[in-house]
Amino acid sequence: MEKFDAIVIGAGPAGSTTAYLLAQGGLNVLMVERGQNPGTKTVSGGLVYSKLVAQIFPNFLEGAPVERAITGHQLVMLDDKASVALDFRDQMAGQQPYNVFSVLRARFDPWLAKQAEQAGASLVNGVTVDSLLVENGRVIGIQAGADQIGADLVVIAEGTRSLLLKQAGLREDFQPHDVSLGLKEVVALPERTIEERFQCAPGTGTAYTLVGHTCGIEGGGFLYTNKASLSVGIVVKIDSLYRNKMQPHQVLDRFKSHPLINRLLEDGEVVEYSAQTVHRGGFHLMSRLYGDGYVVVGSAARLLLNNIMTLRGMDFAILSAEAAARAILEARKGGGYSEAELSVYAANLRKTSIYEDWRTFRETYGLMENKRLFDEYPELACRIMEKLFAPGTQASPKLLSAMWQEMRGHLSMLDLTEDAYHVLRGLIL
Amino acid sequence: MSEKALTLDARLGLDKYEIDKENCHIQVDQGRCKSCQAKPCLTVCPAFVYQWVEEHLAVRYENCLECGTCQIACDHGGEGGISWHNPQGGFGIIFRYG
Repeated sequence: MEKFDAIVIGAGPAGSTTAYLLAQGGLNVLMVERGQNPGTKTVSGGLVYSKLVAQIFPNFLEGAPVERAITGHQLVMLDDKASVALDFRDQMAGQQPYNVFSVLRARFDPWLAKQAEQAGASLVNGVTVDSLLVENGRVIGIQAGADQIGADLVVIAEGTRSLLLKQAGLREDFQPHDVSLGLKEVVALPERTIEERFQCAPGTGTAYTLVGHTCGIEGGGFLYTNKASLSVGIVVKIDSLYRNKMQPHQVLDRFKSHPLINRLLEDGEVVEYSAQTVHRGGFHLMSRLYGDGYVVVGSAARLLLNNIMTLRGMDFAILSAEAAARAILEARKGGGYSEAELSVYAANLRKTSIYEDWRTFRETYGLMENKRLFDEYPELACRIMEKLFAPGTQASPKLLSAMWQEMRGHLSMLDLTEDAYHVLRGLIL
Repeated sequence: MSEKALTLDARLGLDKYEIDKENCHIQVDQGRCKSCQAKPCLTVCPAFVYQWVEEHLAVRYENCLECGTCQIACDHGGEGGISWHNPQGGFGIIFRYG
């Protein structure tokens, strides 16, 4: 049996980063990718928070094929026809050290894989790993078709579906209320049109996070500017879709039909339709990270941070890869990749800022379960604004009494108090 | 957009696939599907891969976007009749943007 120091399953951000760091550390690394090329099987909303990533890849800012530096963030609540927004713009985010970039994975992932190859890792494309080879509870390699390939260590970076772990009995079953479906369209538009429409300078762009107008399905929408296209989509809970008998593309169409979105997409041409499952992040949902002879990195271990304002997957993947790679290189010096030796990975991960963010925003998990947040409140916000901005024949109320009037029959004081408490606990205090 | 929304099939037509004509990567236990009351797969699949035709589950696997939603919905909201595997290396959806 052919044998490598390490085999990495999946050449996405988590896999390529681990391969890159292990190859730099002197290991003989094989990356196995099931797509014809890296990035052909992956879908993201498409934002990479870059400050941490640039520390791991020093040439990230010069070399990585990013779309636009995001300098504008919009948090928007939608009802049927109206919208209420919080609009944050900061031109500083359009220059060094930047903050966050939009990316398209078919362009971004090949670059990451190339970094690993240049560091000395080998990449084979178009090979699906069928199973992990396990001997006496230790992962010793992979099976792909008729081929068996051995390794001292296997890095499982197979992404969000995490099939190999399931098959080997190394992870818990996923529950539908903990997983959402992300559905996206890429809509082509000329660069100039994007810059005029979104009021941004060449090379910079805007990210919209939207709540409401998703047919009452828990979740939200996003709209990001790429260089010459927009990424527009929804992330909606799977159990809610089938309980409400809503087909996902209908929810997407409804979302896109809102006048605000409709206007932003005008004259654009849909060039791709894509989908991916998105895990709800959190300590309690994290899969087992390591065992004898293997580590799990990125979304295969359900490493994702969602605090409503930001949804971080790719940078968490890259950061977890770094935490794992350091542990692997240390364990190698110690002479083996036993579960005990690889436990340093979890310790490294706990020290990362993103893990700390997980702890800070742990109360937001409950918020995602609260249906009122996704229909009642966006509507309430829009109706209150309407009262304030549209004086009619009746005397105008002040804000608070406008709110009481609009709440009547829709929301109780108790609901409001409880929800306000959870939002405060989750996001503010 | 002033034009009407694209039909789902028109949308899928925009995507690039390398179709494996010999192997279907989705296995179905028709017995379980027959006894399944909820049939969540008919609703949740964004590519409408699953259709109930003449008392059995028809699978248009060649349209699959490989998101994994059907498996999760079927295991917990259905009868577990669907077994979804990765397509053979190089086959299936080929995202050109991602």
